[in-house]
Amino acid sequence: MNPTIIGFIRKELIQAIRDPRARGMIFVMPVVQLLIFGVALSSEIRNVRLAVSARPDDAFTQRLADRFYASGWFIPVTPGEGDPFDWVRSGRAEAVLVAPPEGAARAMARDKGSYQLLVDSLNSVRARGVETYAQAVLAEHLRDEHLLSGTPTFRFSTRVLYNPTGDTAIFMIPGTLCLMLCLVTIILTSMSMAMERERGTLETLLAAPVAPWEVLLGKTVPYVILGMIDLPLVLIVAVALGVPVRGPLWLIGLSTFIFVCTTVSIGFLVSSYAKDQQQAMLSSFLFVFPSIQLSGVIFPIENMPHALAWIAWFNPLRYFVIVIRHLLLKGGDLGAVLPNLAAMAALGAVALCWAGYRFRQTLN
Amino acid sequence: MSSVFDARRAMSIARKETWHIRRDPVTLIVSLGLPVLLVLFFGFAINFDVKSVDLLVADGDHSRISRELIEVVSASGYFNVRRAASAAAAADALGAEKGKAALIIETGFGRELRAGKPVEAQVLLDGADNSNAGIVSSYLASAEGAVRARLTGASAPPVTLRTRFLFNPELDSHWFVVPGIFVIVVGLISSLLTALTVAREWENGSMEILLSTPVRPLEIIAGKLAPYMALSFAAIMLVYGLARLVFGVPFLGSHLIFALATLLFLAATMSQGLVISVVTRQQQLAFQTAMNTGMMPIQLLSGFIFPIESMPALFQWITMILPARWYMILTRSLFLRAPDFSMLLGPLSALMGLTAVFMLIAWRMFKTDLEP
Repeated sequence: MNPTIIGFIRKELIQAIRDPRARGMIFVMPVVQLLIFGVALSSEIRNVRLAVSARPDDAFTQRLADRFYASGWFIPVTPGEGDPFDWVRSGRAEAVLVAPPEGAARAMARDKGSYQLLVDSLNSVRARGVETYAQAVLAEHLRDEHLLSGTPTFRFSTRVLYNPTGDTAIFMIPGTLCLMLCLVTIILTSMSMAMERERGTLETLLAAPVAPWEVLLGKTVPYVILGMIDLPLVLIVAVALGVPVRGPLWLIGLSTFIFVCTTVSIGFLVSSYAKDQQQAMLSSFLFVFPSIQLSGVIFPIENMPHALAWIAWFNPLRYFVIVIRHLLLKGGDLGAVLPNLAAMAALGAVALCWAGYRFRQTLN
Repeated sequence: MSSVFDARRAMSIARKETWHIRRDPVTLIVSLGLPVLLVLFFGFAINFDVKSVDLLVADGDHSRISRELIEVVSASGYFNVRRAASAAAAADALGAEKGKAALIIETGFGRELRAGKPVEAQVLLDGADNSNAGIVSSYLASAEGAVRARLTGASAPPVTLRTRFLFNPELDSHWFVVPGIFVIVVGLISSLLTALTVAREWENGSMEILLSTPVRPLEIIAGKLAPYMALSFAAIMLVYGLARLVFGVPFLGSHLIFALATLLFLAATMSQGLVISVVTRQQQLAFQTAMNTGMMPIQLLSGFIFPIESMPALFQWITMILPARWYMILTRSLFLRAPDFSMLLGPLSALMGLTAVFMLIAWRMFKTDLEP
């Protein structure tokens, strides 16, 4: 390889990581964030603060309440006197189980008993989960108290493949890992180019005896390298938190390489439209924010309106998320991975050509 | 030396900053246009109702009852139902990214059900896609009773549980998402903007010049923040209008408290942005820090989607230093819950405390070392 490029790449790398704060941002931040998100996040329904409103002599409800608290989903709170509705409104309880006013036993004898469950539904997804669990607890209780005629005849037996224990880290890490790599590489690339432009050093660079394509390579390759250095770091975190690596490592490496090349090209493209760093930041934000939302990591893409689901087809991050989830959790089915890699590579190629074209225009 | 704070000098800094903003259309577009665009975009995009999930059905029974089960599930409108040849084929399809869930009905399902024996229909979910797996399993669990009644005509249990979903009786996704998303969008953009503008002054060296004038650091801080607060406040009002008019989200609380909470939230995020810019003093780094400490944690740790109650205790504590967490409670309550003032005192004072802490840090760092 020619020494100009190697020198250029070395200069870029030194410039990118000589500041310890920048090193922290590139190497430490993704690891820390991945650790936090992998351990903290869970869409599971846990710690529902449940209060019970019943007559003190209602033994059936008392046993039912004990079963609720023993289930592991609910924790007891005793908000004292007053209107159960107010307990929820004031946030003292998240849900209140209100027994039939005359007592459960008497209500059942008259055959029209009904409990009421008041659920705080500010988070509608969680509220639905709370209701599902509550129904399950009541059904189990009735069964154990032999109050159901016959055995239950039908149920769905649900198995979550690839994550049978519902481990939070396994759910969250493969996706967030992709987000980290995306964030780091796009921002670095777009900002470095814009910085040269803003400080006027780009002109100097172009006037120097380096060919334009050498500048282009010198401004992209280092960030691909930095992104690839991040890969083993985040993979180690993933494995430490119990995420399996079922696909071949070389394929994970290759996919990440293609993805990082794509994001770096996009970063370069974004910077070619920016006069200064501020504009580069805003435009990379305008790219990164929607890509994260349309990646399928936080929100399901299937539920989005058609127009948006359609836009998501042009999101390289979306393909990368599918590939990494597959390679970590499922295995190395080439038939499933290759089409996604191809789509990602195609988007990357378009971005690169476009960026190259824009760069040539800058020169003229 | 003159007093620590002089409103007149702060005003002149604010006036200078306003000129900057007026001269630079980008800032204006970002602070007013972007929040509106993003709220519209994500208000329509984010939906937690199960819809068109690819479901593979392997019916090994081919009885009237198994067909009825499939019909009930398809009629729910939540799934794109496709046939699979066998249970193994369905599981393989999930492994090859060709479906998100599978329903497997074993041979003898109908016969045993008619004989009154307990039977199961097996459901496989693609656990690699956490965003879908959770809502599908929750839907199936809640549909189980209805399916059972339809298939077996089972008698009603002696006592039932009727759920009242308070504050969002229809469990409308928009009511859940919209008050949350503008916390995120506005919080992000306001901290971003301050991080950018102040870091820019440092990088260009104009901050040194400013500091050598009689203006005190506190006045610079206040003067620089005020115009952005005004801008972001305007953005919040726009977003409020959208939430009410476009998404039909009710607002049951007091507008006065909402305005107060919003101002406090803005002050907190802006002083956070200020700390970032004072610490980094360089645009690239400031931007990266703002994105890393802003975008992901605000979205994932503020209780927006992932409930704080479900986090391990340590992380529940950690989330307390995020202004967005407190504003999230405030907006959701104010929109949907018609809270008393006393219920909001906690979050409001938390926002106040955080603002004070961030301001103090920024002020300290401004004062002590002027050389980066």
